[in-house]
Amino acid sequence: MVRLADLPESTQKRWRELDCPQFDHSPWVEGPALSQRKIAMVTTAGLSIRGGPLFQGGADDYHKIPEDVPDGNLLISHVSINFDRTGFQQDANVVLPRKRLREMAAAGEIGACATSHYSFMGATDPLKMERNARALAVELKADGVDSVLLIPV
Amino acid sequence: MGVLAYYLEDEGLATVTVALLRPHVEIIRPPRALWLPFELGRPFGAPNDTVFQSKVLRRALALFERQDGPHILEDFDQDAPNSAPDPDWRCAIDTDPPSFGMRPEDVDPEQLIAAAEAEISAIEIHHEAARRKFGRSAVGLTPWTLAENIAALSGFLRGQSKASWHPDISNAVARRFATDDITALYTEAASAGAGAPNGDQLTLWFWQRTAAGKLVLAGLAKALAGDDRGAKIVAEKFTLPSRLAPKLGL
Repeated sequence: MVRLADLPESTQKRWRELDCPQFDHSPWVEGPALSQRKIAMVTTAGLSIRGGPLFQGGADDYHKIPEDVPDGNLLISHVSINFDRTGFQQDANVVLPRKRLREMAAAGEIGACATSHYSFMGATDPLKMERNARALAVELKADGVDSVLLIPV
Repeated sequence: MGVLAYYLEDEGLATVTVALLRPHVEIIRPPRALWLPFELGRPFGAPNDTVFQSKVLRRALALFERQDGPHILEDFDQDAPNSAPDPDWRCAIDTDPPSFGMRPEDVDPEQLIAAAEAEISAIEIHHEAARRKFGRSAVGLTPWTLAENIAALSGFLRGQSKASWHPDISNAVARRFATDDITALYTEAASAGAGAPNGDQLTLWFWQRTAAGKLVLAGLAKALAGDDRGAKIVAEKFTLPSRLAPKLGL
């Protein structure tokens, strides 16, 4: 288990002093029952598709991960080396649980999986991602997605 | 993640955020969040544990059914399985790296490069076993083979930078991706055998027990002592995990 207190002092200091934004209003979107929802996943793990573009420092864009891309073609190009990558090497679902989400869809626990999932790179200031995040919302809605699971790394 | 949740919810999409650093979601206050007490890099807890991954996913998605917003923060109260070190694990790959200090003048580059090159065939055999065991590999950021990735780092030590494969990727960043691929290939190879080593065990084995790890460290020391700003930044911030530096005596 890694809680903040378990990390080296320099890392704790960096995380504690990270400037986290606060917003002046609180959006809240309701929706249908879980069994009716179409769900996409958005990770900040810096995922790239083998042979595709890689994330570099300061990247504020996102990579699209179509459902038919096999796990074996997912790579991490995140600039940070301060998180474990060995779990992902053994099973991509520990970072982006596409198989688990498909199982829930097949069992009728959720309505459907999105046609694609998406990755940003979390090392970038998220405020710089606003334009691309709002553009992603348009793309998700065009796919019929109504609910999004956001996953850090 | 909480900030992205805000933007997406503001655009009309319902969101659930899973969080590994609780203080951040306490400040940002996304609409629905589940804090997971897991290692950074493993938000669904444990590789190849389908039952546990599904448990985490179900718990997160259940937050979509809550109607008592606009801010919900729950804690997941179970540790990830198999996250402790395996005390009996020993890497099956026989490596015997040369030992050097961390100053560039302490290193014999040719001895180190020869040792790294000598490791390649054994590592590749074990890596192929790991690929069969896990059905995948996360190696492939560069278009280079292991020998070519090693050559990129060796060239830097010799003062002969291997050119990047892409005009938008600098030579220093290309070496970073080469380092990531080498690290992934070695740690995948090391996990092919028996036992259940955790991430730190595999990663420390790479840095402490392999010539390739020493080659990366020698390049890091050379970059820090040199005047190439790009190489310095990569060496300082994007090469060695900060949590492992004290364990390596750095």
